[in-house]
Amino acid sequence: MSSDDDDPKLPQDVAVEILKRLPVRSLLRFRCVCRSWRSTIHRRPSFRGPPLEPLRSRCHQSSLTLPSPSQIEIPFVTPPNNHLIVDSCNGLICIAEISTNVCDQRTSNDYKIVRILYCMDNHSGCFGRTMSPVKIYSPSTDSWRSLECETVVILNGNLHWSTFKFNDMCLEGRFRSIVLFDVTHEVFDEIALPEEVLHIDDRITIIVCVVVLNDLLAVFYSHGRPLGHHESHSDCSVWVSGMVIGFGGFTWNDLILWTTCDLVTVKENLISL
Amino acid sequence: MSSSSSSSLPPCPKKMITLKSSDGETFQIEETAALQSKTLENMIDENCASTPIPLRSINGKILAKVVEFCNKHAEVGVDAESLHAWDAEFVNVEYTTLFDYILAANFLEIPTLLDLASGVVGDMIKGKTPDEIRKMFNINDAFSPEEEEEVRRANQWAFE
Repeated sequence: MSSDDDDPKLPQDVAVEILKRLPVRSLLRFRCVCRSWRSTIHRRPSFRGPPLEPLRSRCHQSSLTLPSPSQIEIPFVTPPNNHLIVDSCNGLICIAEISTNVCDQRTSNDYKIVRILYCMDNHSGCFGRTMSPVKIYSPSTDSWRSLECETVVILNGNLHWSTFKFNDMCLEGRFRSIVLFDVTHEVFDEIALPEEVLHIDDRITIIVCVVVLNDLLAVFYSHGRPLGHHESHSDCSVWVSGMVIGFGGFTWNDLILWTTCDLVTVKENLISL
Repeated sequence: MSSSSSSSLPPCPKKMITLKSSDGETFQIEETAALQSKTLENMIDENCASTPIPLRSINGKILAKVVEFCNKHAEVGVDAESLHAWDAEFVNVEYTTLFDYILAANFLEIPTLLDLASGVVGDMIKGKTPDEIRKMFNINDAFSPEEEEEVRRANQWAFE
């Protein structure tokens, strides 16, 4: 096939077939090739290399399922061990420098990164107060936008956070609710925690963990012992679709499931661990 | 259908369709092999394949190779390993020819060929510089040096 000397050898839509198969590093470099390549590589969320298995259930921030064997280079210049894997969603891995918590979520055509900064309270040393405002980054506009949000949240799930409210002295606190962030409309919503969790004595340390299991929002909670009480806790694991979620050191009392389509649906104690 | 059915009859003749390249060459291909092309499949379904099908964007040299590819991939009893070796030999050509394969596979909608040729080109180019890519793809709408520097800076780690 002969082509004009001035014409590209391949039309853009055909060149895309090749680009789709390139690793991320090459793609980023090829954004310099020309305007049409830049916009193509910029726009398409599928240009992120082979998709990683979406993380269906996540309990611990360092757990991540990857096709094996996989090696992913972290493109940071900061010293090693200064960052952590925050979350993974549809092949996009979010890595943050320690001190920043970020969560990512793919929407229909774009990614959004929700950033919520936590700060240490200088007086009490408590960790968990958010610095308002929450910021949202969208690669398509390459900008951060602020979102007014006063909610005190602990990042602990795929855009669902269990909130922990300290009392005035910042010495004690309790889990209060689950905060839900609607990525499309950029609004927060709140779901009440199960009665059992809400009514646990303030003085007992409880651990709440929000995960997604089979498209249901699940809450694990443990009424552990007050700190300093060295009773042995049995280790416990749950297997979900071939993945193991380890809960080192805590006894998990209940698995409570909600349907995510209707966030106020009555909870069910389906499994007792 | 006047003949009575009998097991001794020779198998019915294979249904062939004719493809015509941009430079007027014609090629016969079995319908079963042609079905790998979604474009041809649609034409067969709509009964448009009884006369030679003109393919104005594919020349005879490339069309011959595409027909060869479809025939090989329609063969029964070929084990995956030898087909893989055959494929590797098939795409052991200049990148300009691979581009032609990609264009033809894109036009004829042959996913196996598109995948194979695009993958080989992808392997060829993944380590190249933007400048080498521009030459290879004959791309002329490059950035100004300032713009390029800006894009480069935004993706610095990819150049290291």
